[in-house]
Amino acid sequence: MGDALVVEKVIGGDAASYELLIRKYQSKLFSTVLHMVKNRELAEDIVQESFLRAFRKLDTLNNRSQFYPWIKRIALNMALNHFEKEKRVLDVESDDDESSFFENISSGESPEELTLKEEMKRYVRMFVDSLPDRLRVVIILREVEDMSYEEIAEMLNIPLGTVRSRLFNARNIIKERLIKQGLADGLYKTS
Amino acid sequence: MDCTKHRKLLSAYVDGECSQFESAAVEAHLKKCAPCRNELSEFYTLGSMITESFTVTEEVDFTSSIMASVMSDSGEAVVPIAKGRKKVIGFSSVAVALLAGLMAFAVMNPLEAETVASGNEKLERYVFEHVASTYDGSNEEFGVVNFGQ
Ligand SMILES: [Zn+2]
Repeated sequence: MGDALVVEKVIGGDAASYELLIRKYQSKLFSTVLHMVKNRELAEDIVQESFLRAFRKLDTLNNRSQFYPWIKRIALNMALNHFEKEKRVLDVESDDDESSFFENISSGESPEELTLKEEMKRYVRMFVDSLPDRLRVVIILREVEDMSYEEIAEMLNIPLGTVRSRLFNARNIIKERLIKQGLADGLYKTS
Repeated sequence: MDCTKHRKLLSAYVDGECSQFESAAVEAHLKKCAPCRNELSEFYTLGSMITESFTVTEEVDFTSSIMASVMSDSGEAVVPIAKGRKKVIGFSSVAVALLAGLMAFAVMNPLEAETVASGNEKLERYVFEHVASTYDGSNEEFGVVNFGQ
């Protein structure tokens, strides 16, 4: 059964069918939220609350086949609200936390047995995760969630030019780190 | 050659987010600048590595917990009104709390529970059949789970 049909049924009063959507998307949504907030408990709360909110507002979903993009947006907004509450990292241009970037990187065990590509991915993941939130969130929305600059700007409530420069900065920081790690070659060999 | 200026644009260029004018400028520069062509490759590779490094999906299961909230929220669970057996859609959390309290009381005090139960036989059965069945212990209405916000 397609999502649109399930959504119709639920709106029509068959709340039990909502379970199909939960089973289908909860893991995917959890991973997405976890990438953003980096805290399992919080990610879990956000996923559960998102499904509940989506259920309550289901009749406002115009394109009924777009359930997942829609609930993902709800969840991402909640994740971003979390940052706004914690600290105003997402719209502050100050680079105060840039230095902590390097401290946050764990040395980890030597991944000698990994292929170059696996090793690269592992470091890339680590470097993205340790970026300051305002850069990290933008690069994840772009590369992982495949959002356009306009969508990112709207979601974070920042100018387009800021999205652009944050992506540029994030990419350069990650590249620099890869080079320092002696992995510059991987940027060619793995492509 | 103004590489610095063009490198800033390259990042947006790989995302397909340059204006027509910018794209033309970047492409013209790339034609004559090998280091910037390398930079372009690096951005592409980096992009796909970031994407791939985040695509591992972790299996989780919150189904019963979410459904418990959903079902109570939807008014699927029903309570009887004073006079009879007709459904009341959208019962209040106060009513649920009362019923839950009543149930707990019935369980914990067998003697008195009998009195209560006899007077509320139908109510009790109703609760078991219609509320308890959708309640798995993590229902938001019961205040057990607090999502915050
Ligand atoms: Zn150049």
